[in-house]
Amino acid sequence: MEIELAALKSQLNPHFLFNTLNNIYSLSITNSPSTSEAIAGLSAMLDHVLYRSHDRFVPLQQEINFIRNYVSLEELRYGEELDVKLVADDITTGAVAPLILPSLVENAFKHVGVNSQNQQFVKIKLSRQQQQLKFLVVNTYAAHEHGDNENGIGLKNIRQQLSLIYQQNYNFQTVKQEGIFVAQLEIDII
Amino acid sequence: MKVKCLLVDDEPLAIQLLENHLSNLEGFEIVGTCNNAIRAAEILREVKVDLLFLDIRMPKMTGLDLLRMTKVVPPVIITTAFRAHAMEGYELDIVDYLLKPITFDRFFKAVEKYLRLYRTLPVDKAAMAPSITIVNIKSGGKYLRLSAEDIRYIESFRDQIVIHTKDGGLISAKYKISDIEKELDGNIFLRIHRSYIVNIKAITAFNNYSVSVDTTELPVGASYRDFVFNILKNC
Repeated sequence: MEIELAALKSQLNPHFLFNTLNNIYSLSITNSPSTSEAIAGLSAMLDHVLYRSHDRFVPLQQEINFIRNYVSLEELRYGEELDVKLVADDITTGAVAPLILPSLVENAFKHVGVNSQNQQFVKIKLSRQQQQLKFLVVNTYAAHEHGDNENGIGLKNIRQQLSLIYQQNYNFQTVKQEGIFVAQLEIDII
Repeated sequence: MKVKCLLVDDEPLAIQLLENHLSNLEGFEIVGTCNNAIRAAEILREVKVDLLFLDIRMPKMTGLDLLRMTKVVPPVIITTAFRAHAMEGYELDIVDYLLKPITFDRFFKAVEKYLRLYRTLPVDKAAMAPSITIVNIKSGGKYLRLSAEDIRYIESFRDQIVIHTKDGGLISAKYKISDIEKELDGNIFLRIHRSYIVNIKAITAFNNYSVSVDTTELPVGASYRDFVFNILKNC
């Protein structure tokens, strides 16, 4: 149980959780047809974090579903202000280490902001070439944001997990310039 | 006069929820909504706002920064998913702190608290009050029965109060001012200072620093200033 709670805390930050519940509450009050979808999405996320992400590797498809649900709930939070695109190859087999890909997505939503070209977007692309998975996350960041300390901690954790699980067999690069942050991860699908 | 509300939150559904909650109440109108604190500061300069609903964590500038940086801020109800900022908010003198998800019941409590603090004299309430209110004062071994409208103001010295009556008389009694304040009807009397309680109807003039009761000028204490000014302005 403690492990489950720790996982929940680290993966679904309370701020996201309570804001999302507030949004769902808001939808329910207006009898919006999106209510049930949002509840189902949030439940699926909780299920994944609490019960399906303890193994060293989990089905890639589950992780993709988790990301899809997360992205739709973030879209619900920010509405039309934020341009979100998620493109994922239809992958039905293979496994990856749990919750690393979602961390990159969460990181993008945490730091996204309007850049000096007046853009604000998060773009996520997941593609497969034979046994290799390529995951690309691109987000704009606010013009005034230069201290990347917070960002740095998130990325440092991701790097640590990667090297713990994949040792040398991964390639992770980030670039931050001119209002756009790019993170690219290549790992082998198990 | 309706309470003019400004809603500030970076999440559109959170704004929609507040709009919905407010639409269930009478006497409130929304004069603006925006998704960041910088825009909120602009709106506050342009439009009269009686009550501000403010999220904390927003891009560019947080709600708490807005409160710290803006000189004249209307009464504020904080709305946030953050459990940790409550204390900081209270230090900034807010009306209430609402945690998301914001249920209608809890929202209603916050709004009631606002009304109690800043709108103690709604018209309907005054109309409902009996025309003569009697105040019982223990003085010299008996209870004096005074009509509230005969009291102009009450002044205190240590544990002693002096009641200044309409006919120019003085009644002295052994009371702490905070005790007598509790017995008085908040719709009729107003605490304006550590040492003064005034009959609102007896006030003939006021500014930020003092109120006049006919020719007598009474000071308004610094910690009572906003409250007193708000009440007198609105009734």
